[in-house]
Amino acid sequence: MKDVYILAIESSCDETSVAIVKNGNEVVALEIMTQIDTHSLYGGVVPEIASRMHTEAVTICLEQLLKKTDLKIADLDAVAVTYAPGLLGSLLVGVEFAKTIALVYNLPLIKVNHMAGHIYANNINHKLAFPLLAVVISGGHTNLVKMTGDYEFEVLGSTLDDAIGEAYDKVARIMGIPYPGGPNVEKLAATGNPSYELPIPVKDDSYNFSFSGLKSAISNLVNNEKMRGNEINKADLACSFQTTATDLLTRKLSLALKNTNIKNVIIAGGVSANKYIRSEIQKACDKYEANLHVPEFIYCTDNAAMIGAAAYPLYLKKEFADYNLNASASDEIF
Amino acid sequence: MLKYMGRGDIMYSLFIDTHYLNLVIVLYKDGVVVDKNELINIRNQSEVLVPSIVAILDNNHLTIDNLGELIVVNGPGSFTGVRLGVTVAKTMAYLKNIPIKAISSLQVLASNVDNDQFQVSIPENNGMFIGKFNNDFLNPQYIYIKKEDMDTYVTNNNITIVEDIDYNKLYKKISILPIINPHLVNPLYIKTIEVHNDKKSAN
Repeated sequence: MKDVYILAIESSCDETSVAIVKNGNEVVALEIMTQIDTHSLYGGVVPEIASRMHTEAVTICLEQLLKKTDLKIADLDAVAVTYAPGLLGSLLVGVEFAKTIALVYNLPLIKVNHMAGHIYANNINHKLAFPLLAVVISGGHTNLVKMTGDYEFEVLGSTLDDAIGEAYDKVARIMGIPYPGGPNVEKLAATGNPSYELPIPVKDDSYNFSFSGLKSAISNLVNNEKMRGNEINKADLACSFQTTATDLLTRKLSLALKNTNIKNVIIAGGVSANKYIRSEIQKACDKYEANLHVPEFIYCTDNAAMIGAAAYPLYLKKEFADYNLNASASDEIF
Repeated sequence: MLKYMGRGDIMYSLFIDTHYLNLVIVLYKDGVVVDKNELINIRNQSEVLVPSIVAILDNNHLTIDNLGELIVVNGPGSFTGVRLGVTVAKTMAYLKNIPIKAISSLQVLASNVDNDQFQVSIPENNGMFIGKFNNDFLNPQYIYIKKEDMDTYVTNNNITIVEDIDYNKLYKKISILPIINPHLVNPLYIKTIEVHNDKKSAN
């Protein structure tokens, strides 16, 4: 079969990224322009600033990408773009950019869900083996998803409140740890011991998650200690939080591995960059003799290569979008 | 390298305006309006912008390759609206090496006024943008007036209300605008955003 080259665009949050992906699993070229330094000044992503920076960056980002390859846009087979979920203003810039490229080069347009992108990041330099269990962990999502084939998702469990990445960020804020909260809490946790006793969430047989109780417990603990004039051991508290939160993930995954007897596991979403979580999930998989696949670090956080990977099955099914495609802040695939 | 790809000596220009709850696409042939797509009071600009460009080209049996010039209204106005028009226009210009020009929404209005000294305004959700003109030159300092101060401002100042834009007349303004590197075509933002204000007051 003829090789399929897809130009992919991602702009759902604070990364402007374009990539060329071959056959859904080989990254020909990838360019990521991050805005993290700018948003750090404000302690978090400012949507209006993110949209402005995407508008300024899109054509420059594409030019940088094309310098990395001999391929021309005219040689490609389709244009794929993240249309949901994410920051609406940011998504819109990427969507209009993609439509214009598709129009100019008369290429089919493919709309890709950002979370499908995170799942298919596992298909880069690797072939997804079905059935599988996907541990979806990001700033907006925490799900345990069963996949029996391409784009065949069955949600086994979800968070009842905050997403895990959101919990990391909130805990960072409570403890006065600078943005980006997640990676900084992880770094600090690596130097501490789980000496603080925190409540154990969702002690039932469901596959659901919950992180807001954990966050509240930490908030109360920090406030109480402050009133008593005691110092908090930040490293120990970060470690206690990370240990409890990760234990919840591995408990639910283990339950699913036991009940479904599925032997393939993937991790998807920005939080998959967390090394401690990776190693604990690996232990759970080892126990049930399941194969774990985790995306390479560069493909864990937001990037366009994963969008190109997720677009490939849609290209094969000829699921193309029209020029009236709109972005959506909240469209979910599972 | 910039190239003109009109039909023979004919130059087609495409004008794109999405600065507020509107969408105006004008096709010029040698500076004369030959077709116009106009939608007013719309909230789904992102759904109709590219289809409207396709429609105007199709109706005139043209393709993007026939365009010798792009003009985009880069604000002030709705942040999102302006971004859509600017993103589409700069991408077309970059991909096809089409010369591109940017014009402010206030200059578009001003093109219809013949006085030497006047002000034009553009309404917005919470107020209006004011542009002051002297001898046809726009004072580079745009003003933003909040809704509660609008009546006082209008009473104390002579504001010209522009009802309809004569796009043939507008082209005289367009023809003298400089060509810009597509990477540098970006929206004009007049209003500061909240985080900036918060940061200033915190400093």
